[in-house]
Amino acid sequence: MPARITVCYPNQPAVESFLYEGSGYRLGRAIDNDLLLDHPTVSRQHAQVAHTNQIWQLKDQRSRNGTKVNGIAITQSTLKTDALISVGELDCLFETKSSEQLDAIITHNQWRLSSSQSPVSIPLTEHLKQNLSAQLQNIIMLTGTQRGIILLGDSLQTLSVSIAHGMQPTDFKLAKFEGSVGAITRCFESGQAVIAMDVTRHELLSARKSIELKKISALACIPLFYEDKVVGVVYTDSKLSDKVLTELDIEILSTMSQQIQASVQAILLQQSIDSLQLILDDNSIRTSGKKDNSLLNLCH
Amino acid sequence: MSVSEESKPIKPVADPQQTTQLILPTNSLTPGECLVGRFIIKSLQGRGRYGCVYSAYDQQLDAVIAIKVLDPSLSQNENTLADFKNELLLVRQLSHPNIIRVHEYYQHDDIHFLTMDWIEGCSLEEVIASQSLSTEQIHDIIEQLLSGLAFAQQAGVTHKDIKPENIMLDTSGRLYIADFGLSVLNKESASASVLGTPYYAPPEYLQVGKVNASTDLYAAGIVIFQLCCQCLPFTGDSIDEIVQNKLLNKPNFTPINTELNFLKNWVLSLISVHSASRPINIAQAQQQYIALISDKKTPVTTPIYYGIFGLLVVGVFVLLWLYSQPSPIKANAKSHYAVAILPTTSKDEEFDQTFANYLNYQLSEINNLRVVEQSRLSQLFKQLGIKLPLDDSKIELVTDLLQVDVLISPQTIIAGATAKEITFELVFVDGFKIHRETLLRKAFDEKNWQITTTDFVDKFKKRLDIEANTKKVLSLETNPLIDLFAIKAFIAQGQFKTAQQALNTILSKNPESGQTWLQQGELNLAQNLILEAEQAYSKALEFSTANSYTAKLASARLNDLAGKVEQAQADYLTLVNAFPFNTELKVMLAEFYFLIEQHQKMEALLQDVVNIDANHPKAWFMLGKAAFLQGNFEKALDEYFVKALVTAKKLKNKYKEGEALNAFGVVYEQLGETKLAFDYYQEALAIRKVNGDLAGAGTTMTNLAAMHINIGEYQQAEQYLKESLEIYQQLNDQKGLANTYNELGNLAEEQALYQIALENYRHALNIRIDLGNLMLQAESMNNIGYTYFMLLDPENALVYWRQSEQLYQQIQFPIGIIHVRQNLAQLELAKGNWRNAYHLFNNTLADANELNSTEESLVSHSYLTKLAFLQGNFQSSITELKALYAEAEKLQDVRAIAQLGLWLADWSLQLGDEIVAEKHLDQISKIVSTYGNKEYKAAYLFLRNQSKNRITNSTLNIKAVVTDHAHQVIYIRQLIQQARDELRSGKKDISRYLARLEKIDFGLYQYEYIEYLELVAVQQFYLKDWQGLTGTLRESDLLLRKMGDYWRSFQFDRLRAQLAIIDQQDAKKYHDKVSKKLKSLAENLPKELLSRFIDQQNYFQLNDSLQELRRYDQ
Repeated sequence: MPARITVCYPNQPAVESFLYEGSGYRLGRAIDNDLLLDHPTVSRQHAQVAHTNQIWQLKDQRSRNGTKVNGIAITQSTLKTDALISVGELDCLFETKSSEQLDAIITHNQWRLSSSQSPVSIPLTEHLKQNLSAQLQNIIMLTGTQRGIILLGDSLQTLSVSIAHGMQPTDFKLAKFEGSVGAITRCFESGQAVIAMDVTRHELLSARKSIELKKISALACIPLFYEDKVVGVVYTDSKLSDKVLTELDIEILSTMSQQIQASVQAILLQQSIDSLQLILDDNSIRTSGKKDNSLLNLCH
Repeated sequence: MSVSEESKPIKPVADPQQTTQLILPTNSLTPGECLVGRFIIKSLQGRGRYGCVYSAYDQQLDAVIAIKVLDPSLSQNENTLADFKNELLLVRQLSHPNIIRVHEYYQHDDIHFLTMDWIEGCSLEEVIASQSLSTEQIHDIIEQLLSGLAFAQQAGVTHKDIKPENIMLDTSGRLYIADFGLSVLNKESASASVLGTPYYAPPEYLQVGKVNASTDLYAAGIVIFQLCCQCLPFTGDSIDEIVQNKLLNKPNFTPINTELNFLKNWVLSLISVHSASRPINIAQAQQQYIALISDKKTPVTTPIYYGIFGLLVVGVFVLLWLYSQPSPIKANAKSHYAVAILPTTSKDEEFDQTFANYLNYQLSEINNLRVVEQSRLSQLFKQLGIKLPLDDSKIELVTDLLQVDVLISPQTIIAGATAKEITFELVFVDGFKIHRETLLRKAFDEKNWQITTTDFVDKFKKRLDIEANTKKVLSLETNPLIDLFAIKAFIAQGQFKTAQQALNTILSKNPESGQTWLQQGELNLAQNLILEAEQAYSKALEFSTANSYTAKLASARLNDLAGKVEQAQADYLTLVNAFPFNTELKVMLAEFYFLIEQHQKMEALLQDVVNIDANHPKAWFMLGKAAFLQGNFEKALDEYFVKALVTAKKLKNKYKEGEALNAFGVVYEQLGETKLAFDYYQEALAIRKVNGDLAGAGTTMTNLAAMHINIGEYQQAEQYLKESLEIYQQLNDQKGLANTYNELGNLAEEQALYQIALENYRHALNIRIDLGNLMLQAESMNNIGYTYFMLLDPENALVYWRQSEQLYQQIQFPIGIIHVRQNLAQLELAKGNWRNAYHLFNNTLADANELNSTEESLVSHSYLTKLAFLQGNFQSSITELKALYAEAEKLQDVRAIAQLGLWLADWSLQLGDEIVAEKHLDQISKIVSTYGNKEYKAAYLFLRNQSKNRITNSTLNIKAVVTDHAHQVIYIRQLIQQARDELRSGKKDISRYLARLEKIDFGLYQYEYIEYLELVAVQQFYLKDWQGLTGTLRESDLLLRKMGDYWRSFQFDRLRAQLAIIDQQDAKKYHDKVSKKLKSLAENLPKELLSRFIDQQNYFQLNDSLQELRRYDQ
């Protein structure tokens, strides 16, 4: 059967590749590899995966940091589906898939991508906040994460939750949310997308101690811009142990964040118009010198 | 089969049109249709209020799933839909074996649908209808249903529509609750939802739509009733009629199988009319159920009646009394009476206590009676300054504070020259009136007084119409040793020696008394003598009869000590259930839950305690702890600690008041309310000091000290630690003393006051050696070694580290060994023995990884990276260190973040990349200023100034700094930097810097020493001191050999080439070496940095510029 290999980087999107029957693939850090693994613990020529006699085989190419399958160091090993390969310190999930499955993955991914790009997928309502809410819903739906938050504010101090989905009030308790706050802060300060994945949460390795440290297995954080300034952050995460955020997920996330950015810009624009209006109103009252009177009149 | 009320399987022959009239053909899907490029519709399985359910094939996962398509009438309503989607996001996070997993929500064109697990089986409705369930299967279903619901409630999700149709059973008997979240779709039409399933909804929901913690619980109760009895408890033709029935009728629980009878009271409590009389939450109901079942499973022939047994009987008899007795005694609680026994007031105090204790013991076997422990009574009297006899107002007060219905007051009176009589008076409050009633008066035999109480107990039972527990699960000893009562009191007061002496006498007389050995065990346990306790409990078990209180408690303790959690829990539960109103046992079990970290169970159990006795002195505080440990800080504070404080004040218990205030401080600290935390700690401290609660004051001061250290107020911290030190000295608490000294050492180390740290660590070590705890000794030695190292005394450091390593090896504590070896490696690094350092760090890294110790592996890994950098592997080591920095951030390890950040900045500067260096410094500036010690702050300042080219003499106060390692490094580096800057600017005389550097002992600064030698050589070259230069180059050569590969070595080769030219020898081989080295360094640098890097290295003028040298090879 063909196979899918998902390379899980700790702080960048996971990369999915499909491996087809009857071929061999070279894994390593050098550019001429079939599967380029960009991580300092991976050797230039690190390992080889090949499909021979209906079996997937993995061979270590005398790499510096070694290769492991399901936590056990190997020089050569057959691969069964759901194997967790550690190339150096980089974890890769190996799953065999029938060609029908591969087709379905591709068609479904196409559907997700096109859904995220079609502007009509979200009916625009007059209430700006409702748009934001629906857009966040769509992000969670299309990336298959569990929770999402949109935070708006012009500095870290004023950054506050505008919309949250899939969150219980207790989820915001600092102790539970610390890791996420770190990501949000970094994203806001750097103006760059922040992605973090904890493959050690994957159920194959769930016996490991480190799961207790953090309850989130994948998170992504995308900055929102208004006139070249970061004005907010879209945050989403999943606690499901086998969730990885792939390049496609991030692409969807970025595309949808563009749409959110538009909504946010509209909201900010509306706000500045409102405040302008307020000043104008204020002035008119002050110039007429009847502010208190008019208020009194209103009360009666 | 899958999911939901409409999911009755439709046989292919049946015409779906007939099954329901709600069919809307608009969104029907045809088999074979593919949704979102992934799901192929197989067949329609059912339809109902919310839409259609299909089975579908998930091509991507190669599995069958269920798809629920929302009815267009629902999916077109934007508001409802948004709410539903939000709820669904919470539901999707529920991961539990008894809840159907919802995968995703999709919108494909106009079709809104959700995907979920496919369950092969049928609904509970069909199962009930088939009437084929065995008792085991019923239990199985109840257990799973409660488990799933309790989990959802814990996660904050309410189902609101639990009914048999929504519960699925697969072919293996596993239960799945379906349709979580769907009830949200009903919001628009509230009446419709009520119409949906009125049989299962609680009356308050049907009447006013009120949803509370027991909405799902009530529905589950009805389902369980239906499972047991094959009929609904409340029926009716209209909603009004059903509500009416629910409000007024008592359901008739008649299970099909009489074996289920024992569930009656529990099931009825679930479907009680008033939400307040149902269990507090599903978890509690579940716990009660488990307790019932586990008792059923123990080989006891008779069932235990949990909770409100006998309520009806008591009620009826109370009514009868109204006619036959002048003043009925009213019970505050529905289910039981509570009494307290006042001691007699003879002149013999020991007799007074013993008599009361004995009576207490005899009464404690009566069902539905709570007897307040004598120790609690005497403590209360002491705190409130109450003396016997009690006047009316005191009686009211005591009755209220102990939450009792009746006080029993026995008195001996002299009746003639030698004869004595005893009276038993019942005292109780009815409204504002206090009744006194002499229940029994009879002759009193001082030698054989035990018999007199038996008469009283009989009369008393008749008076209250309560019964002794005839069907006893656990029996108390028929002949209690009265001498043992005093021992219990001694243990409670911490008078262990007296207790042991008394026990020794009893044991010598009764070497085979189970109850005595039990007390011996309790005494040992209180003193933390585990082995001795285990022996004593084993004897208690051996000498006591099976199913006695003694045997059960001994067995519970033994299992507890042996770590057999399950068995211990079962034992404790049996005890608790056998004496349902004994709060002491409940608190004991709660403490056990605390130890095994079952905080939720602990909370539920303690809730029970405060329900029985709202003024229980310990329970509120423990509840607060339980809530706190579950992360419910506000709840801990607002619901529990406040009550603990109020109760403590009511009982005038200053100790408990201090404890509660300290707890306030802890919670506020946790909530980040620093000011409030300080206030409460201080208040707690004041009370504890006034009270002489020294140990408590010590704790509070340690808390305060920690808070002060956190915000950098070292003086305050020190003061508190010193005070707690005094306290521990006063208490002669050696362990506390050692720990405080150790903390003081830590405090000093944080401030880089190594001399003081050393003193404190030494104190701690001396005490710890006396205490004989090897682990703590090893810790102290390691600390001392480190301070010596920081104080530039490697010989002493080595001595202590080696000893520490040995101790850790002796007790086989691998993390400790890693700690010491990392320190040793640091020493090797400082001494310039890089190879040794490399091996030590490499080995500790492997060890740490094996132990899964992220923190330790981070340390070793960082130093290995540093070594790689020193050898010139610039780019890869920086990449690696960045990864480690991220790891440290993930671990929230501020010290590591600061340290690694400083290294990153330092390295960038060495490579000439000032922008990146600034960036790294910016990243850690907050952490360094908030958490960094003097050492970090000095290093930070140095790097900042260096990057801005502002190194001047004034940057550092030189006098203050040269005494310890960290500052000396900065001092040296600063001088070297200044000397290089002078050379760069074209000056050729750096002797004033060299003169200062010459005075320094470079023993632990080999890394800086080589840089110093480089400067010396350059100076000698300029002075044309060829002989001196030859010597310096030789020395550097020796040092470099020790170090291994060092990236700066090419500088010496440059000078060697010059020397060769002077000596008219061939300089080519040195030029070759230099260019080779530079070439390899260049490979390790980003291209854009190269010219700056070369520039930086070219700080002294030679007639062969570095640039030329580079070109030489090409």
